[in-house]
Amino acid sequence: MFVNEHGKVMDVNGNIDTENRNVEMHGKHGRINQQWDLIYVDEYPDEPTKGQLNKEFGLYVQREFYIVSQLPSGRYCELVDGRNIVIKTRNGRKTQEWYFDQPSKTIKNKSNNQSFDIEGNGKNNNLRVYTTSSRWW
Amino acid sequence: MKRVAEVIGANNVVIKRWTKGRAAQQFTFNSVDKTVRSNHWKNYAMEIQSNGNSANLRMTASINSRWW
Repeated sequence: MFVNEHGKVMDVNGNIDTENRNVEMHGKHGRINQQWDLIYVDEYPDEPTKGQLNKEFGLYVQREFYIVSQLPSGRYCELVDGRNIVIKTRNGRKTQEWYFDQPSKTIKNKSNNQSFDIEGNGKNNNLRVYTTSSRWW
Repeated sequence: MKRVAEVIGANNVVIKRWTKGRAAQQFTFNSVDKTVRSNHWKNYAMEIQSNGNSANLRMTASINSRWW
């Protein structure tokens, strides 16, 4: 906690963990939005770069992969019409290639570099590919 | 990786995704005036707006000797 002499502490407004959320000073309550780590720049752990394993996600950064169904025909997940995902026979197209994107922590398609997205803010059954949004992380 | 505090537009402080080498996400302690300074806007220090009466934390270039 970062406390000033009047007992006010640094606080993420509204306890909401989104990009560009404002940092304020509030009375101390000790919840997680008032807790900070001070990490010296020269000791900050680098994020994995291209080809390196992201241990948290279990995926290699920007290393292309296929997603193959275990159904008898072993078809590949493919992006069609720039939005929808279906299974198709392997055809060597980039629409069947996927990779893990480190900055956004999303799985992207090689053909258009857009991300896996569950329609309806994750409440729908449809999995699709959509423009990557900073609101997701 | 968790988000880090970042100074935007020289004045305001928000949380953002860490970016390697971004000076706006780096701060130093100034032992002379006992303030926390931005590493990007080096003459800007952390301040609670309205002489400490506001909830807003911001950066200011008007570092004042009345503070210490």
